[in-house]
Amino acid sequence: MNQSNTFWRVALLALPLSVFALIIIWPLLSSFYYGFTNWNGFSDNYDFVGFENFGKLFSDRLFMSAAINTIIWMAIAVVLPTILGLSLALLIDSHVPGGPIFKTIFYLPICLSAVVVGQVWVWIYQPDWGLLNSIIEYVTNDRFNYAWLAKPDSALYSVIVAWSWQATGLSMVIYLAGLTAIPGDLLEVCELEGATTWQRIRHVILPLLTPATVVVVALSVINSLKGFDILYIMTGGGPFNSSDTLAMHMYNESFKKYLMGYGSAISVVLFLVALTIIRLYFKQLKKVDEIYG
Amino acid sequence: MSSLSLKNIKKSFGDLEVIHGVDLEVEKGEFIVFVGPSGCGKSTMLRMISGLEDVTSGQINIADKDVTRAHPSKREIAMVFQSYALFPHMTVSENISFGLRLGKMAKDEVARRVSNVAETLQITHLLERYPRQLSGGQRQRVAIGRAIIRNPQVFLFDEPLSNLDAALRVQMRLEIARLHKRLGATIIYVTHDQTEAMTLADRIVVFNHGVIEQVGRPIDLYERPANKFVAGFLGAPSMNFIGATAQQGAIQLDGFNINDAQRAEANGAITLGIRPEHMSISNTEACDFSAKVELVEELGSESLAYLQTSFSSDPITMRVDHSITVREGDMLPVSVNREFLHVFAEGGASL
Repeated sequence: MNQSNTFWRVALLALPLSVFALIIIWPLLSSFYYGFTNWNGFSDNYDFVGFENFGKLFSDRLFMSAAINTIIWMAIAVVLPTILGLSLALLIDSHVPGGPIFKTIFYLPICLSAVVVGQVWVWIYQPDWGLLNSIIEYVTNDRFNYAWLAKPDSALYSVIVAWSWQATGLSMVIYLAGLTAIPGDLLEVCELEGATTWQRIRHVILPLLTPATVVVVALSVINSLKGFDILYIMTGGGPFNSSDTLAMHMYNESFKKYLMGYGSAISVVLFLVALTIIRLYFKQLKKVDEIYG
Repeated sequence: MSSLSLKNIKKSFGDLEVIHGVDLEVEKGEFIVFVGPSGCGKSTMLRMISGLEDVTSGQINIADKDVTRAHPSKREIAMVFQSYALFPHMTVSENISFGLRLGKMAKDEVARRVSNVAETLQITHLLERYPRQLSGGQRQRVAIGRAIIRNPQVFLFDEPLSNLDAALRVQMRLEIARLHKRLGATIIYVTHDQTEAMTLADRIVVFNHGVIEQVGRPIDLYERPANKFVAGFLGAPSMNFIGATAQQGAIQLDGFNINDAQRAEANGAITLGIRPEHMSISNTEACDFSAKVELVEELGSESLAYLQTSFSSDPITMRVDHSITVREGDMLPVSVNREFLHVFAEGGASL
């Protein structure tokens, strides 16, 4: 009986594991391998170049600016959806009229693909008839046709705002779940002790939402590292590479310049950064679990 | 001076009225226990006193001030929850001083008060620990500490010992009784555990279906219950109820020599109430009834014998001293102490 159970367990696990190995582990190991070669992506002939690709990263101006952009993206991605998601969750949890409707509306962007979101925001940012400039014109009663996505100063931030708009819904839902998990009697203690709304949020709700915050921040960081699809639709990394991120830079080097070896080296760096963050996340999660679990 | 006064308190949830007009006066320093079965309204009543639940109609006075519509924090009450309700991210010291710190009290005064409370509750060594590092009993002490430090007019305890194991419950019960003596505080204590009610209360308030069935000293309620509900609710094992008839005060029951028991008001269908400890095995030929022992539960200091009789479809429970051996299947001659015989009218009122 036990032996047959073990057989079925292994058999049932083997299929998903082999698919996982084929589409995740094999490409991962391959990119590690190609990171040490000068492969162009399609030729059979390539040479092993050691750490040359990794050394090149330090002298690559575009890699450095992409790394800085990724850090900016990550920093804003942590702050914006976290604060907006938390504020919306607190508002909806306070039983405002129409709360469930707002919840659905704010959650909707998550159901859209990044491509759709990107295209919607391209229209919003359109200089001549886009929603944003139209509103500014309406408010200031003056002609305004700033090209948000075509200016190096604003392109990256415009994309990050669009990305955050989509990400806010997810953090709101995570925070709402966190708020539901706060025991009602703790909030009643606040009432009995005469805590003001702000004191209740600051001293009780925010600390008790720490597990939710860890998840929201980790998801924002990891998703911002992957920031590619929306960027590809909205700016393609331009203008003049001003909105390039590491993921975008890797794509350009690998598939536009056919430097697959160098692109793989960038992906290895991205992978190691993501791994470090995930490690930190699990460490933090363990700590949080010790306090709140 | 009345510490707490409830005047015709009613509570409805939508169209459903759950508290039907409760009146109660509590003297300063009294230990009042609300008991009753689940859903009887005792916890709702406590929450209305605390202000966590609105009152539909009626008036609540605390220390002679009308607080019916006052915010919970303005009522000079402190509440101890069944779940302890300690903040997991705060140390014991921070939990205890939570309210004082919110009120921006000077740090050294907060520290002095925390130290006094911790000493009273013997938790000084736990002050820097987090709730997760404490046992159930220690957590409950911290919750009590958070209540004491506010120096309230009335303490409200909502089933505070329900989450503790049996041994710890007995210990904490004793500690709460000691604390009450030491502080001389007015306490309203909700429980469904009648042992807690009997041992702790100066007066017990028995709730049922949103009304007070009886208020009185524990021993009065035990010996002179106002009705069948109170009689059945207090006492473990509970009182035996036996259906009988009465004609002009004389009680009649086939198989039970009870004709000598008189209740002038009894007429028609009545219920006899006999506590398990008020029956004994008769030493003489003359007994009130004979019964076959269906089951015996040995409790160490005593045994409980469940008896089959000709006049009751339910087994009759009798308490038997441990020195007397009773076996299943034995036929026993049983006598009932007439002094403690209860008679209830058809509607349940005590006669």
